Amino acid sequence: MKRVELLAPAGDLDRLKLALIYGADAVYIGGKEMSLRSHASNFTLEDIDEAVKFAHNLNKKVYVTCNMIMHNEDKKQALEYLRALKKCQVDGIITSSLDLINLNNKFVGNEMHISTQLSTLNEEAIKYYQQFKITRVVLGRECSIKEIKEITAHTPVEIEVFIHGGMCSSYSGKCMLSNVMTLRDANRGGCAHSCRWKYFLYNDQRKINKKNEYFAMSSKDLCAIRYIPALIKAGVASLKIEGRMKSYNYLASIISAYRKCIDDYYAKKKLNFKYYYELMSYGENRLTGHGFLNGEVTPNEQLFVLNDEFKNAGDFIGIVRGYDDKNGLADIEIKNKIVQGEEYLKISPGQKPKKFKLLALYFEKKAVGSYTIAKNIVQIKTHERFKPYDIIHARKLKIN
Amino acid sequence: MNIKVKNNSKKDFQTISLLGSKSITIRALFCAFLADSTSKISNFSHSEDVDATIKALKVLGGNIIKRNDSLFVYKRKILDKSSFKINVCSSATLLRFIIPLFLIIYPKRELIITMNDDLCNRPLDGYEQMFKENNVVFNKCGNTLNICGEIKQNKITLDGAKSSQFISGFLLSLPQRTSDTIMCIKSEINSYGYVNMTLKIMEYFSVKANLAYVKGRQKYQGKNLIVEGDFSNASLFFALALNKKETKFKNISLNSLQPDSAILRILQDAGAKMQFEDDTLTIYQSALRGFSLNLNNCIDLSLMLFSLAVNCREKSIFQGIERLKYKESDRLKEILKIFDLLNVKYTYHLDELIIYPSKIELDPFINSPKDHRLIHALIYLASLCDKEIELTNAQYIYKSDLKILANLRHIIDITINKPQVLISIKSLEDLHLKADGYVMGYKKYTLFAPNYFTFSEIKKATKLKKIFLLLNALIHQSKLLDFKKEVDKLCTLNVSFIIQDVGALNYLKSKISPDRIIFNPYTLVCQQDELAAYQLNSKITIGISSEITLQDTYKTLKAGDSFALVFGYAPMYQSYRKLLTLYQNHVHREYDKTNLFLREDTRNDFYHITENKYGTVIYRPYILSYLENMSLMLNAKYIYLDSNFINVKKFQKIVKLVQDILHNKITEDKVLIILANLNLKIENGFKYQDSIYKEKAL
Repeated sequence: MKRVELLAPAGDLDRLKLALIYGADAVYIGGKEMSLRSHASNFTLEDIDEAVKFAHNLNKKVYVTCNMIMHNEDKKQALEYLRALKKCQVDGIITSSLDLINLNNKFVGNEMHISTQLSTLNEEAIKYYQQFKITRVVLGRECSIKEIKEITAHTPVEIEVFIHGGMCSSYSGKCMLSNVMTLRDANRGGCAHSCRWKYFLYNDQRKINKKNEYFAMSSKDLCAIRYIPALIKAGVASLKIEGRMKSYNYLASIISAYRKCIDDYYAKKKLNFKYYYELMSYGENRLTGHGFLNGEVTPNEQLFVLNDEFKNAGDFIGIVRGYDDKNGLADIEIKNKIVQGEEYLKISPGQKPKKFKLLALYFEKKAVGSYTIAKNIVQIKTHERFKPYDIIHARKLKIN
Repeated sequence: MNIKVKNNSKKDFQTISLLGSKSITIRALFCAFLADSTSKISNFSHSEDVDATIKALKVLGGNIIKRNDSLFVYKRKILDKSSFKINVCSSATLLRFIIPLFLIIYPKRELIITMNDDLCNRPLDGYEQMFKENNVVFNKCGNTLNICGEIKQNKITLDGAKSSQFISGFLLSLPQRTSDTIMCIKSEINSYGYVNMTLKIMEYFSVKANLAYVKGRQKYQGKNLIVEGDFSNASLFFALALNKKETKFKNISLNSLQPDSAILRILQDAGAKMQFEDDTLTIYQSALRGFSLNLNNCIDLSLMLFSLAVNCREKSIFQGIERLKYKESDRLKEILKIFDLLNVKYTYHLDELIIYPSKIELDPFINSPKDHRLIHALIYLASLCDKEIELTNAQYIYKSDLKILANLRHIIDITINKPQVLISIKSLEDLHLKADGYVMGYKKYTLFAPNYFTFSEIKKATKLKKIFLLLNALIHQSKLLDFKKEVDKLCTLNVSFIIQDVGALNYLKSKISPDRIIFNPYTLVCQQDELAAYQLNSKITIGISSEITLQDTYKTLKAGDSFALVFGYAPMYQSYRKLLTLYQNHVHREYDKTNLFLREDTRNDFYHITENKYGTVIYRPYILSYLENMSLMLNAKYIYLDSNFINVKKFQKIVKLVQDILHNKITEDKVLIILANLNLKIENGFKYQDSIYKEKAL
């Protein structure tokens, strides 16, 4: 039986490398053209070429999202772009446009996947798309486990489902709140997340909300770690993590958790959900729920609190950029304040997080007591050995 | 779009206001764009070329607003961008004007010009020498042109034998240079009249230039301009008027700047009886002798004059027609093709065309060429026949002016294939309203509709009218079997279906004929090729998005059998989540879930919100209306009026209004007044302004 694919997002080439190193089997990225994350630092064709080479060297895959709903002005470069992606040898293109698929099938021949933007919820829809020679369908996030199982049983097409991250509160692709309220086109990468704003409910002119009470339509993020065995048993081909805008730290922690869970499942080990949750907790998560996986959502899956800030945003101290074996100094790209003498956690691909004491801290070869300026590189001395893409975290170790 | 043309002897004493000149509108827009103060351009040409010009000038920092029947052009912004992208669509004038303008106002920046296929092969060689002399980078690849550089030299050399638009383009822009420019025009200028028109319009906007010398550092001043009637289009009306007892024309200038105003003299010389009095031109029924003309300076009149020559008493001789080959199509080849089809006698040799009076016989169906002037010629020729002639694919006529067909109806019978009008009903009583089809929600699998009817009610309705069932819920796998059972039952009724789910589409396709299926994915079909893709293997009707520009709507509707909302509250959010119930359970408070609205904390708008067992829908705050743009919606197979949330009596008036528009009982410009009197909250959505994204969204 083919192993399920763990599919992670990447906003740029560096995060793509991190995602693959931390255990993703494949990554999906947005190009400069036709992608739905206009403000993610999307990939140039040169980046995509390098990304594919990097991934293929590790025997892993790269998919490119071209999932915007095209208007006339977006169409002009489409064929040229499809050809360029073919030349880069990408492993698939995720799209919501049958026009783009036709164009590809007629002139280019990339593998095409149906995006979740088309809200595919049943096997009949997949039969319809099969006439367009698609090889994979990303199901709508409204499917339950039972429905996913039924769908996979009735289709030869690969099925991809979301397992973690942000969820549209609407059917994907059917929300124009951002368009109407801000002119920013949600279906062309401009979503202003208007569903997360404060609303009041009225019956005619009478406000139904009480004081300091808001009507909420927004959803909690999805976390399907407990459903991984069921999803694998259901015959799903790919498990997808949402979030091409997410940080290194988030990707490292979430990918590590799902990687470990999937590997434990195939190794027939007892699944240690406490450990997986702990791994995930190092990432900057919002409140999570299980979405529609159990069937219809309850108030527990809705986000009724406002200002749902990312948790732990200040705990991501830095990312390792290099390590000098001779003098035991690690180069750290700083994200948040680091202090000499403090204890930190090292998060490393495939390893348990490990605490260490920061013995010395240097900036531009001078010893300093602490350092704060993000994106600058400092050197740290510890008793630990490091590798590039290891994450330094401020949380206290809870895992034994 | 197909149009049917028939002469109508009753339309003998008509008065026609001519539509504004496209050439003047575009030149005036360029002058107003460069002006330091506000301009108002009235009676402007409603053409695709003018729309493309407005868009292009906006990209370059222009601030242009359409209000009522005028264009207001405010002082432009100077943009700090390294690269600009514009689409000139099919406008050769815009393409040739925008290049020198850009090189002068944005030196050393990059301009990426895209264009439609039909413009790709039109020559740009008039600029090539200038580009070489100034080291301007100029790359053309398919439909895309890249230009970057600046005009450094103080002497510009242009070939007058090429299109006069190259010269006009420079004349408009050179006064903005910081230094003076010596113009050197080699050989005689073709269509000199258009260059003269450019100079006169510049002068109107307070800038002086001549063909030898253009002073730099001049300032255009904002002006009010009422654009005179377009003589190129008017030539068709004049030709038709020659077979009418008496026709009066308004909005016409005897001292016109337009070279094509020569038509009046040409017709008079050929024997046309006409009189100009009190700003009104009257043309009387006349039989023409024939023409002997060199058309080099009024090339756009050629096709109409050739067509008129068919109906003259004597043979006509035309010279100076070589340039017809380089227009929107090879017009010479195309008109001779039409003449061959109609058995018109002619000879063509060495730039001389001789046309002999001929008795023509047209087939009842003619496939129109993709060229508006050729369609003008066909309309005139069709008017000479006794029977009704149908011109298929006649939508290219809108290149002349989007209002031309409405104007033509004053003088001949023009019938446009009309879309079927579908209305959603709240009760069976609404079946008495005049429509081609009635849209009914159903108790099952309808996510949103004005009402939800039972099987027996629907069955009853099918005995009376043509019914369209609105099954717009998305179908979840766990409900698929039940949905199929329900559909099998409904298929026994004589109904058509409007569906949103692709799985539902796949199943219905296997059950019923495609002409009973309308697949409306609401937001997903935003351009013509997407619509065509859904129709790849089946001729179902496709619903297009309401969230696109009017131009895109028009283009998409004509790509195949299509369905469009033309009046109603469009949904702006659809979710499987039952938001009202979830909120009720969260606050532990019961409330009535009918007649509810949402309001965002910082906004004043109220949004209708509805919920049923298939999910929640939130609607746009105001009614989207295309009633004042109906001429652009006529390519749709179905137009849809949604009664949801609209007062019954007001909706009845809207239905009547649509019927009046479609039957030409009311003109589009009166529609807005009627809507205002009904006191309905109307919005334009993205009709005139596209949604923003990419770097603009940040």
